[in-house]
Amino acid sequence: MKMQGAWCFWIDSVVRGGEMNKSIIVLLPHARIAMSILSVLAMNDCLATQNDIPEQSIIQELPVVLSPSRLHQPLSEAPNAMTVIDRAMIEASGFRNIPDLFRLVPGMYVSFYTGSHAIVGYHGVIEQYARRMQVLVDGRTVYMSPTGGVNWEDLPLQMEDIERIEVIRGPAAASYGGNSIQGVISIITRDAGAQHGFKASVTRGNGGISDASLNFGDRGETLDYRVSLGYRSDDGYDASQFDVNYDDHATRLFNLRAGYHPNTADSLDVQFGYSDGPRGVGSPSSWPDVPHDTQNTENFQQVTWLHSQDDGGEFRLQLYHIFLDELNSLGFISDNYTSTRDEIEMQITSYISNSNRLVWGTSVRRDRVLAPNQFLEEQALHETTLFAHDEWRITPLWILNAGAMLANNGLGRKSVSPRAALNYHFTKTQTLRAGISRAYRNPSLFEERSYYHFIIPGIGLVIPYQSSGGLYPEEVLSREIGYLGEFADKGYTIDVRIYRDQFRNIIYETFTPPKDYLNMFGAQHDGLELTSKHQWGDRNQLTVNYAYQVLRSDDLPAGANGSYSSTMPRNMISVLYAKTFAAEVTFSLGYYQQGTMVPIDRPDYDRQKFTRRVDARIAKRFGMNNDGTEGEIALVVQHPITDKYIDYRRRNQFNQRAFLTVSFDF
Amino acid sequence: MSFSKLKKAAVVVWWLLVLAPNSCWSGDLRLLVVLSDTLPAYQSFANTLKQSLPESVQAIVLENPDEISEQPLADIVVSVGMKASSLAVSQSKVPVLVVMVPRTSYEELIEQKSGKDHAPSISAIYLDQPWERQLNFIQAILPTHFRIGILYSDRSLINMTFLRKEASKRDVKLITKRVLSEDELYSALDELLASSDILLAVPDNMIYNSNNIRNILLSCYRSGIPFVGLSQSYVNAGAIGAVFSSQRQLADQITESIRFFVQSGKFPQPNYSRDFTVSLKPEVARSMGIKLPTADAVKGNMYDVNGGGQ
Repeated sequence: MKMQGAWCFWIDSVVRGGEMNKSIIVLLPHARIAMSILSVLAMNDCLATQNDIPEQSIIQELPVVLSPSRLHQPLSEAPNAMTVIDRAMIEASGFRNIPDLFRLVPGMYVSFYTGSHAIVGYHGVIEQYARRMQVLVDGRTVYMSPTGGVNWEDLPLQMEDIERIEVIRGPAAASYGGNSIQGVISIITRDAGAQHGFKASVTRGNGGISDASLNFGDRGETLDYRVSLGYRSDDGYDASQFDVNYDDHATRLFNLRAGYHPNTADSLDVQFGYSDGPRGVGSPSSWPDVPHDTQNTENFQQVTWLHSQDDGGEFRLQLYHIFLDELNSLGFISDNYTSTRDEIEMQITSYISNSNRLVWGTSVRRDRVLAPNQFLEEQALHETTLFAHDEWRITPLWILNAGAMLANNGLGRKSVSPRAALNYHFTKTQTLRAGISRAYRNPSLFEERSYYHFIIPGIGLVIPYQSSGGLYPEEVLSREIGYLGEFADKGYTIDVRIYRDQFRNIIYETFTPPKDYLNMFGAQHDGLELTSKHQWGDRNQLTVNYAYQVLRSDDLPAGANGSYSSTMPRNMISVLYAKTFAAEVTFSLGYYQQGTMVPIDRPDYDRQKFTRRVDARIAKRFGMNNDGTEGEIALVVQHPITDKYIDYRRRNQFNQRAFLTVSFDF
Repeated sequence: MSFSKLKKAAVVVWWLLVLAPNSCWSGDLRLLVVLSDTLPAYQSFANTLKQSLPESVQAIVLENPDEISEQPLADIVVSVGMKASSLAVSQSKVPVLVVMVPRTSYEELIEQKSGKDHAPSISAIYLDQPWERQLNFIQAILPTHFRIGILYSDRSLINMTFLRKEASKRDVKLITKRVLSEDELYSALDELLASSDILLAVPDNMIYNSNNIRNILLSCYRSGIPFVGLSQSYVNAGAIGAVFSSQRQLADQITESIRFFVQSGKFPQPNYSRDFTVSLKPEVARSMGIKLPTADAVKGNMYDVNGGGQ
């Protein structure tokens, strides 16, 4: 011990700049850095040895880290079909924006109204504002009023920020809240402590592609944080014979996530985000909506308090605020809106027994919309929900999931959305699932209360939309049978389901201005979805998705375009193959195929023909030097084949894109 | 008969005389339980020990180990934790039973004291688990996970040579990664996780502390690598499981050692706790797509593998 004391004293004198230190530095110019590193290491060691309790690592109390809300539900126990998109798939896909990722979900339709206005929908009735899926980012619903859609481009979120995406295929109101009549997209961002150090990347490509991002973060004793700064821009769709396509857009964004863990039971997650940027809209041929930029801004603040109980239960309280603003002005005419949302949600997870877990809670949400051209006055909406979901392992082979959500939509309607699913593990590797649920979509504020009007010089008052109100929520009865085989020893997973979704009271617009919204028709969607994942060697991964769907409506009124059955493609395929070579080279190939269709709100000339798209990515990682700095250079080529395809509208022509990304970790 | 044997015989006879009129335990055996600190872990252990001891044993708990020399003479000292044990071994005039100390630390302690003044008789019940037991546990819960990752530093209480030998007997592969400083912990962890099927915690305060455990567990979970911990606390935090000796099991073995001492005048050889607890976290396993047997089946299987689970 005395020897150690002397050693520590010597180190101390070196660190404080004693004579010995100076002489070493004079003698050896490179010694300064080495000495300071050595000194710090040795100091740590001295301090640690002095305070060391060897039994500490065994007897210590530790915080609950993998609490129920952090644990992902395994596919074999989920009450719905579920597609998971993880970081490896995100990287292999080569996609630059979040909506494109959903091409990797069987049955999901991804398109764009303009280069910055994405449409992500599932199983039909997909119009310009895909309104029938719930979208959550870390539990915050970003499915917004007034349109009842998701402003994907405005989300202050970069691809690098995403940990994984869970797509629940089918209604799941009891677990994810309202408006999930066709499915739920739940985006889980990277933990506050997931980024250690800096990561910077720059992307350049044709079509005006110019992106940059900087991520940094640190982990501390009780506080972790990460910060993400980004810029992305491109020229949108290519010019076609129908339009020059004025849809250039650029987005600057920032987000911060901090995790504070003062003790073993509590944690606080704080998030902020901000984005802004211009979005090109309009067309020379659609006066008065001539080419111009809208200025979009979004910001949010979110706080989540998690308290873990000794019995494994958990209490979660979440508050957030979202602010959305779009300035859309041509001087003589404007169409601005500001939308805010505040929500508080409480959720309790408790174990009734070892085999029975109950999750229940309540939420209150307030939306406010100021859109002088869309509504006669400022709009406010208060929604409340009460939800409960029980997971009961009847035996190790049988699991019953049952739950319901009670909602008051703030527009004078109440609804109950129940769900039940029974999973049967008939062998160790195979599961059968049967599920049934009823769910509702509330009319959006625009559908219920629109008075969309402009005073156009020389023409006077024009009213494209005027709602008569009194809408009933859309209703779906969804039934499915699923099979899941997980053959870990063979590296193979197969997930198949057949379903029948029956809709009533689908809200749709009338055909002549001023258009109204009515509970217009019913529909039936039948189909089959399949996902196969195969992994061989350490280095090959193949995912194949296939969807077959048949849409039918007996009461779609005359005036709607085309036949209802052709509003979605009959067959859809997506394939992602990734291979890692030695020498840190990765190669991946994506293939996306979609049968012919006409979107329900588009005329026949916007028919999307049979479309195939191929994306390829090749990347090489390299070490910069011995201090852990690493880099990667990646080339992505999207749609290198010669035939161009169109998205949603015939003017949205997509030619080839190629871009190069260089990134550094340090 | 040698002098030492005579001395032992004398002690036994003395004890028999003291205790003879009543049962073996009815005498006034005075036990001084010296805690290293006022930490709840030590205090709850002292309470468990008191419950385990027969009522006739007078146990006095000393929370400040620096006061050990000021205490009235006891018959036996039970030193709880390293700090108390270090002081007790060098200052106690009566036999010392070291508990709540890992094996490597105990052996270092004895080595330091050899040739110096120390307590008349010293033994220990180790806090950590034998490596054979750890490996048996892993094989019982994760039979298809062959690459066992171990993150270690110069301060890890681990016998790597022995562990490698045990691993090769069982056809599992040890993947090890040394951490030179806390700064490079996460890069070392990421590297290790890329080539392992499982991460096994080893006693090491620099790596496994309450500051780091969050990110270690989250990294493992994100990589789909199950993490095997060192205690119930690790399982509560999110480890897939742990094999450890509970306070009750340690206390019972201490009581047994004291009984042995009373009967024979000496402690049993230093050893691991014979009994152990298997704790599993099925929620975490299910979420990672792993099907675990029950804790009872695992424990039974471990006894089967190698009689007594050693």
